[in-house]
Amino acid sequence: MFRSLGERTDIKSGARSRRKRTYQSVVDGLGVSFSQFEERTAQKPRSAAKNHTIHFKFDIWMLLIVFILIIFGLLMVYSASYDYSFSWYDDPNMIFNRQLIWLALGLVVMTAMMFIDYHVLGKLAVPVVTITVVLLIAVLIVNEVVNGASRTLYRGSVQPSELAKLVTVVYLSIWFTARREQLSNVGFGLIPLGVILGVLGGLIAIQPDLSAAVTILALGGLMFFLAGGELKQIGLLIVLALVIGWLVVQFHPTGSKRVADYLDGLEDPTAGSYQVVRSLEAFNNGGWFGVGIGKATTKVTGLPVPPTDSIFAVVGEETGVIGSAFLVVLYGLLLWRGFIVARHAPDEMGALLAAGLIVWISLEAFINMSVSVNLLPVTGNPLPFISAGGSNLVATLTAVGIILGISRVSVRKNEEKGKPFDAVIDLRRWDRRRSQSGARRSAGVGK
Amino acid sequence: MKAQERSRRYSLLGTLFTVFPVIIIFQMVRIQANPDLGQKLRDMGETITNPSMTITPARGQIYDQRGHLLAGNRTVYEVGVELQDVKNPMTIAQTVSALLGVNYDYALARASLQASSTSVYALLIDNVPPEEIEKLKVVIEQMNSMYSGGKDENKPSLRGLVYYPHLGRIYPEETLASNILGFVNAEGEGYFGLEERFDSLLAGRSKKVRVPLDPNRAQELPSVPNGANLVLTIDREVQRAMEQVIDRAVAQTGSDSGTLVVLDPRTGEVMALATTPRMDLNQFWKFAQVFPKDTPFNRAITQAYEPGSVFKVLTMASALDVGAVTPETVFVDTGVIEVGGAVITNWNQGAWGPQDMQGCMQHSLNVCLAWVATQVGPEDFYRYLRNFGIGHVSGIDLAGEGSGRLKEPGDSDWYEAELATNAFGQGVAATPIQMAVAISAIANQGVMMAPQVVQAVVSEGYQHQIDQRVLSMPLKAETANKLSRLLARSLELESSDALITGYRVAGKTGTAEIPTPDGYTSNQTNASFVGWGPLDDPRFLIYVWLEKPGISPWGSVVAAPVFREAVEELVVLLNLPPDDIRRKLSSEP
Repeated sequence: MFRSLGERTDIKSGARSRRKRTYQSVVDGLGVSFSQFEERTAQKPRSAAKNHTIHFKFDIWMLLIVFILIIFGLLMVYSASYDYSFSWYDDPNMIFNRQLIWLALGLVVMTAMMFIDYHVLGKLAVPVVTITVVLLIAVLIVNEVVNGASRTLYRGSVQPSELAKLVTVVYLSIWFTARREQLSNVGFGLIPLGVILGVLGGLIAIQPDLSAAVTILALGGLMFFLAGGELKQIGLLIVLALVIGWLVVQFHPTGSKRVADYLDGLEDPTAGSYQVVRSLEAFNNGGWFGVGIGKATTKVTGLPVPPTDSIFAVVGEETGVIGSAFLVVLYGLLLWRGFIVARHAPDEMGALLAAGLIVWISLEAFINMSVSVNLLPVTGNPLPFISAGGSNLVATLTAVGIILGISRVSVRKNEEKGKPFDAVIDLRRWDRRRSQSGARRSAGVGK
Repeated sequence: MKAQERSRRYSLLGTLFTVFPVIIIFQMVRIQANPDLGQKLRDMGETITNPSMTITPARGQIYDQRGHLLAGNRTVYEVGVELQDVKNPMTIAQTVSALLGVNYDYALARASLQASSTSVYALLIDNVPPEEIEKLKVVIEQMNSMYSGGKDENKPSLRGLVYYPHLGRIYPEETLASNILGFVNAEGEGYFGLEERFDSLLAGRSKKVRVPLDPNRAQELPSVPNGANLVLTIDREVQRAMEQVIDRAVAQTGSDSGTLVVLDPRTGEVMALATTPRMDLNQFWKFAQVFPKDTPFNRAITQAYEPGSVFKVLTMASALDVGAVTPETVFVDTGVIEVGGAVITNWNQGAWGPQDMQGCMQHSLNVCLAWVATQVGPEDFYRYLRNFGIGHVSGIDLAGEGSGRLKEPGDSDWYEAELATNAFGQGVAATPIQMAVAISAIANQGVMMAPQVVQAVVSEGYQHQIDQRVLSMPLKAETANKLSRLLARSLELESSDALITGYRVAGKTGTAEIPTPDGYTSNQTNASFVGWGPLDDPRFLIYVWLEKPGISPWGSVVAAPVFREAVEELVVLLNLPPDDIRRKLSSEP
């Protein structure tokens, strides 16, 4: 299916050689000089593109997994939302229809990202971050209060915190790549990182959306680790996170209650929070094989927000352990494909970007699922691809598009070097111009 | 950083992340593999998804004998706060105090309560009529549109203020017949009168059902039959007129209270039961104000008192019936008689010389009646009183009837002197309804009918007529008629204030000193009058009791005119033609 280590070293060496050239130009550049870096690295693929008009070569496994998730998600969104939608909007299809529209938009953005060279993102980073900050401030000013927090714009249709998560990962991957030499310097590395994360996380935290803020901080930390932050500093970050976490647990009313409920729930699951108890009841009802899609009862009898936060419980009840484990495995596979793309990325920015994005997606997924099975305190993280919610879906699909774009560039680079890696399937196989299998074709290219 | 190190970090993170799915799947399996937890979750789920709910039927309605509604139901609202939704307790307190008259500080304190797992809701006020809820609704909408959105703590907000409808008791006639009806408290329990006596019948049978929240399992709520309706023997118009009569009398005579019982001696049906004080039943929470400490809710059935001379009717009835005296028997009144060591004198301390029984009753001579009682003898005398129901509840279908007290030979506190004093209504306590029922035997040819307020119960479309019962037959018809004529004649000879033009009535006044712990030392009296008519075909019996009249202590002065006024109202309302016209009508072929 995919060729392993032997060839990967080739890919790496390719990436490394290119990196050597770009190092010089970036060394003196701080944040502003990304563009230089991008232009140079982008040049080569662009010239290559003249030979091959369009490349339909992506990490097809990832695309396949994403499509399965989307289809499964649509099924579950409808199942989990019709009752909720009816009681809130008098229309059982409202949430589902919105999800379809957002999905269409998401797919368009994803496709666009697949064909845009990810290095272009470097130019877009600063304006996009600015727009995100403006949107986050706008949320606070417009102040549409829903359930005691204002998190949305345009009557709940846009949730900028989802965009912020995506932007954080993209921006940090560019920023870390540009500064990789200075990461050990606290003043140039850790403190600006703290400022960036603090601004984004802080704006989200005062909405308040504690879960999203914590997610952004965690992503920042993980990316710092991937980018090559010093272990000392990472240790410091962990200690800092623990202290802040402890403070939140002690003094934040929502945070402390959720953690207290969680600790109660660990001892006796039936003593935990209402959401967890209902969620466990759903899993218990579902048994090994589920009650059948559409037939869950907890979703219509008070399981909190079934279309979003609790959708995994609906999956558990309707498809049983088999179905929900399948979903967990899908996310696992997605994560694995993401890391494959990261490993094979043509440069460090691509690697960091792919890894960061896939870590974000799977982190959200695992947190959401862990909450549902009483492994973590209650949070508000959506289940990517599955949960109803346009902003998250579009943001996630954009991320997928970027990762696939990275895989496309990697593939092309390898093709040029005559070493495509086999996990990638050439879509042109079906357009009958070439009908070789991957293995035979790789031989053909090599001759 | 070295590429190798970077690669290692990627691998490390990737590996760490694979822990998540493994643990999640493990946990899912664990949930399934724990039967105890499963059972517990199912049990908890059952109570959450199928909460039990009590369906309370609409309380039965109460109608007067002509079908006028006396007690019914209507939708009222309770207004409260959902504590966890409250944003600004001050706005809520201001609104409810301005619109609904709730005390501001009370409302503020209630709305400021912290929501917890045990307290989520605080009631502010109940029984709010729909008109006021309409006003509240408008204000809530205005506040919502003016101040929507925002997190400013001090912004006015009515969030959390809610109102829920429920059925509440309504008494369209307000104070009318309040002493008969009783009321229903906030918890839906009947208090006093019919509401208490027939509480379970009126309330109907509530049903506990489990209501699935799952819309796919939705089922129609089982309908529960409404509580039974009651149809009374009370006539609203008669009751209203009698209440006006007694209120006027109380005001004019300066009495502490007044009670007026109207019943049909032929059937025992109570047509009116008017007494003071009365309350607006729609405001049952004012009960303690209207009825301060120890004030009976319905004096007519609860308050036993020493009836005084009206009791002589029963003494004379037993003497005539047992044959101890005849109306023509002459007693020489020397103004004093000693029985069992007690010296009895007349009301004016005078000696009235030879008097037949007619005269004894007409002048209400205590000495004479004490002698009559001795002629009857204690055994027969008390047997008659028992048969008249003295000392026992009459069994009227109202809650809280008092039994009074009749001391009898053999009781530790009975002395021989009691025979003489009981003869003119001292040393014996009876309620107005007991007296009215007992004397109705004389009006109804010796047959004493059980008093009744409810003539029919309408339950689930069926009307159950309540049987009229004979309570006892304490004397012969002949004796009863004889005594009736005797009493009618005494009224006429006395030219009493009780006489009504066109209608021949029989009756007896009564004035009783009020006993204190030291004996009959006060000047205050209970003035009573009992009368019935028309004499040859009695249709009504009226019992009047004025407590502690201020202008005159004498029953003949204060109570007799009340009887007349009552009869004058009654004959119109009952369509009773004057005696001569009636006789003419009935003699025509």
